[in-house]
Amino acid sequence: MTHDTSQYQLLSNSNLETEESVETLCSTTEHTFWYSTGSSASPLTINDIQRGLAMWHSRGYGSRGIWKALSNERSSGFITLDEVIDFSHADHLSRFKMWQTLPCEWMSKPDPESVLELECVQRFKKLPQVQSIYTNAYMRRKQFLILTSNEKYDDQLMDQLLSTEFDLRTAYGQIPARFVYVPRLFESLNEVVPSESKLIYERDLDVIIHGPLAPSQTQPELGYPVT
Amino acid sequence: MAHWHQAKRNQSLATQLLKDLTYKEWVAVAAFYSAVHYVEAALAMDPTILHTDTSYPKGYPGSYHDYRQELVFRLFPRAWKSYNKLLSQSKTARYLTTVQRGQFLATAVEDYFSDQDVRNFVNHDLRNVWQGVGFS
Repeated sequence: MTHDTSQYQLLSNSNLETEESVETLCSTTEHTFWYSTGSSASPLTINDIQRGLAMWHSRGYGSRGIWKALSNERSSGFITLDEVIDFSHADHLSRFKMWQTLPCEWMSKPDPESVLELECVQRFKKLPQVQSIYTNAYMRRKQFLILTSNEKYDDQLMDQLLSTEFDLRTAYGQIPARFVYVPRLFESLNEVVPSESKLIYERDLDVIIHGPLAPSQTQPELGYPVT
Repeated sequence: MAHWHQAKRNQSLATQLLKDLTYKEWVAVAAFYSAVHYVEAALAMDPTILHTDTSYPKGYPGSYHDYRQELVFRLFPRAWKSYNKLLSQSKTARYLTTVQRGQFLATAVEDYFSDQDVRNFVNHDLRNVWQGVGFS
C-alpha cells in the first residue's frame, strides 16, 4: 500500500469539518477527493468512486459535487482505495476519509454556481419545513425556489429562511441570485414550479438530486407580476 | 423629503388598518410601501445613488426590486431581512401569488395572514427597516 504523505499532511492540517476548508482544499489540491465522516460501516470501493465520479461528471459538476454525491450515497464507511488510504491513522477517521485518484480536468475547482447550489441545499435542508428546492434562471439571475410545507404564513419560518438567505448572500454575493419561498398553497407542490426548473433537493428522498426534472403541469412562463 | 413624507403617510395608514383587522392584506401592503419609501429616503442622502430608478445600472441582472434589495443588503444590512419579508408578503397580499403567473393562493388572503402576523409587519418589521436605514 502506498501512501501520499504530502497530501495527508495537507489534509490533516486543515479543519476538515468546516465548509471553508472544503473550498481551500478544492482550490489547492485539485486532484484530491475526500468526504466526511461518520462511523465506519460498509466499504466504499474504487468501483463506487468511479461510478460516482462518472455520474457526476456527466451532469457537469465539479469535485465539490462529487464529494457531496458520494457522501450522500454512502454517508459513512471506510474507503478502500489501495494506493492512498491508510487506516492506521484511526484518530482522523472519525473526522474524514480521503483519497487521491484519477487526475482529470473535471476534478478542478468547482464552478461558483455549483458551489452555491450545493451550499443552498446544505443550509436550507436544515429547516424541516423545507420540502424541496428547485433552481432556474430568471432575468439573468440564478433563482432558487424553496418549497415549504406550511399552508399559511409562518413568520418564524420566514425569519429562518431569510436568515439563511442572508448568510448565503454574504458568502456568495458575487453570484446574482434570488430566492423565492413557496408555501404549500396548492394541492400539489409541483404545480408551482416552472417546467424548466431543475430539482436539486427533495426531502422525501433526503438526497441532493441532479438530473432531469420530473414533468411539470405548469405553464412555462414565470415571474412576479410587474409592480 | 417626498419619500420621507410618503413613508410616514403609508405607515400611518398601516397603523390605522391595524385598529380594524378587516383588511389584513392591506396592512402588509401599506407596511411595505412605507418601508420602500423609507429606503428611498435613505438612498436619497447618498449622492452616488439618490434613487433606485436613476442609479439602476445598465444591463443589471435583475429587476428594480432586485437592485433595491441589493442596495439594502449592501448599505443597510440590519434592515434587509425585514425589508425583504415585507416585499415578499406584500406581493402575496396584492397578487395572491408567490412565484408564477396563473398560480394563486387557494385560501382567502385574510386567512393566510394571522392578526399577529400583520401586527408584526408594522410593529416589528417596518420598525426594523426604519431603524436599519438610519432614521432611529
